Amino acid sequence: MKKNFKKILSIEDPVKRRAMFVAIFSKEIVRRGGKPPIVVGGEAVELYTQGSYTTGDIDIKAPLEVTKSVLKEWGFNKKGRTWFNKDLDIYIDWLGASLDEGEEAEKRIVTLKVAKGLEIKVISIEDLMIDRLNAAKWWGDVDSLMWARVLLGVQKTFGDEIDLKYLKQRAREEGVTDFLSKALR
Amino acid sequence: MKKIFTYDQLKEIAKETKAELFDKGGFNPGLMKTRKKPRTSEEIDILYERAMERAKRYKPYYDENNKLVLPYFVFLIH
Repeated sequence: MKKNFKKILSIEDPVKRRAMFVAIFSKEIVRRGGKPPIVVGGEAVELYTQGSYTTGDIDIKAPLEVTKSVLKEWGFNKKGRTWFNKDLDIYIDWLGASLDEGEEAEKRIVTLKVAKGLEIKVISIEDLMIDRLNAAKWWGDVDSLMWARVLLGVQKTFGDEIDLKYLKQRAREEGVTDFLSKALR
Repeated sequence: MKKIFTYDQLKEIAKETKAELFDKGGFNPGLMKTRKKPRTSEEIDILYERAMERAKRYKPYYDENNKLVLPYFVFLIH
């Protein structure tokens, strides 16, 4: 692990450092027999926007026991639901073992390849857009609607069509159809 | 006499301070994500354009195994 820590610490850009950390952490979780962690929330936006959006912590869904053992071994301390490592300057918010959005959202998870043998699982753009629309409507975050629009644009750059039917269904379930209409305008 | 800090020193101080505040409950990285201060439509447009420019500069693509590659995060590991 020391070699990996050195690698992470050598990365000056905190956005890239967080991505590298998640990739190495995911590999370790899988090596120990756990389900790969899924990146959600702000860190997922940071990844898809390749650092245009920056976050303070890494929101993950991951199996609890194996996550706990890896993070403890790697010198992380826990406060509430947040794990942190001062040297790495990395804060991890553990948000549960699986996606609250359900089975369909799990099927839509995207695999990002960051290097040979290093991958990151991320919530789909559609589900992440709904997360941002929730933040815009219910938490009053003034930037989130714009980030939902950016995610829509990012999806287009890699040639994927947004699944409008799914997006509208999720928006109805979450009570954010009004904000979805604004994002699609 | 003014004390001059190097970038690395400032980085270290910031890291230490953040960890200390977090430990005392005065800093929650999760809460930093909600912005309440309104932005003008011009500011929003600039942020949007900047993000889209970046997406074009580092154009994502799928590899042969249908895995998404985001060029900004491609690390060369030997």
